[in-house]
Amino acid sequence: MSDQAHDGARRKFLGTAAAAAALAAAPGVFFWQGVARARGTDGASSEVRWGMLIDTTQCAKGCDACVRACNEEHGITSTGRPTTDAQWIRKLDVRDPATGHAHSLPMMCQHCEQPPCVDVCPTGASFKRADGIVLVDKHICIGCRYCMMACPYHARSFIHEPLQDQLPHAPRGKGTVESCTMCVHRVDEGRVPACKEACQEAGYGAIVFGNLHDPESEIAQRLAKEGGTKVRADLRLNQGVRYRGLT
Amino acid sequence: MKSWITKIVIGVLAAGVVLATATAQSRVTLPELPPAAGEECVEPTDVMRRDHPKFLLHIRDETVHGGIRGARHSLVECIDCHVQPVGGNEPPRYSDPQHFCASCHVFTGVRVDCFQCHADRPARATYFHKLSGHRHHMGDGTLSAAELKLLAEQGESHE
Repeated sequence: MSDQAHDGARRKFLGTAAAAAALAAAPGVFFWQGVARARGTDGASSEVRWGMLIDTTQCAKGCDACVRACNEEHGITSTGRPTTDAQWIRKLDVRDPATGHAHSLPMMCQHCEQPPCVDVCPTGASFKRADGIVLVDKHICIGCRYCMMACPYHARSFIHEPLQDQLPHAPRGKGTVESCTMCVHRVDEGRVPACKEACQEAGYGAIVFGNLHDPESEIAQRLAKEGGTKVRADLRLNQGVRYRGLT
Repeated sequence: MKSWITKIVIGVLAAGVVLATATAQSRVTLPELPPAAGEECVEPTDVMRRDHPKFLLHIRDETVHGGIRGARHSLVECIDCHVQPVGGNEPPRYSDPQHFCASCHVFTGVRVDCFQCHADRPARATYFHKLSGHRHHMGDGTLSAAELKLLAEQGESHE
């Protein structure tokens, strides 16, 4: 898993070489598997990169519909000790002291193309799927929490206490680290993440979800037209989650 | 070295004979497996008895890392079918010897940690609508677009 994460350039070269070889072997034959392959039973494909655009100009201060939807979707409940509770998504209120300009935004795993959590994981439990979703394989996670220290967004949580009655699609357990999965179980079924759905239902529509590699998708078109900010872009992690309206 | 291997083989065979005798004469109380909801398992019983850990281990990496879903041998499917409400009560937990997995694991002295993270009971929605969970259970392991849509709708309506 770990070489997959590091060798973006090498893979790109190999991909180009393979494409050239295929064309040379069968001139006139066009190899195109289509985006649909990334969904359903065929598994994640690198032809897709899932991403989100969060329009902070539409995100209302005080609204936590996305947070509640996430907690409900994954069976995240409070232990009564907020400092150690799992938190996959949280609402932040930020204000520029110079101008007084304030806005509210949800912050979660940014699903980096070069994820620091994957770099530091000693067991390969922290990994990036072919379609860009960054996950923890809890079968391999030893709970060392290096990834939590490496993450610039404080996106990960550690489970300190035994859990009961987890949901079938969201296995979670003591001694492992977890974070936003971009609702991978929904995405694999062709649905959208719970936070996006909740934001839509709450009437704000501040979250756009889609395939960053598809120029026809809403997210790609809006990014092309309006642009999007990567939080801590200086780290060059090329996140899958982008923000609009951050100044 | 060789004699060790021979001894182990003889030991395993002897254990088999003892177990077979026990089965025949019922001198040992055998586990009582709770009834399943479906009519037929995804594999014959003897295959499932021996190989269910292999199926689960294999599929777990494909699912987590590859995102390949809807396969025949998934833990969620096992639980949906084999763990059922008893006498109008909630389905048993793994800590209860009545639980399908526990009934045999207790008998054979096998300790598993699957249920520290995974749900040991079907989602409520599944056991209220028992048959919906088995729509693709006996098929070829793939879901059609219509089935996916149906599942998605069922999921949404119970949230």
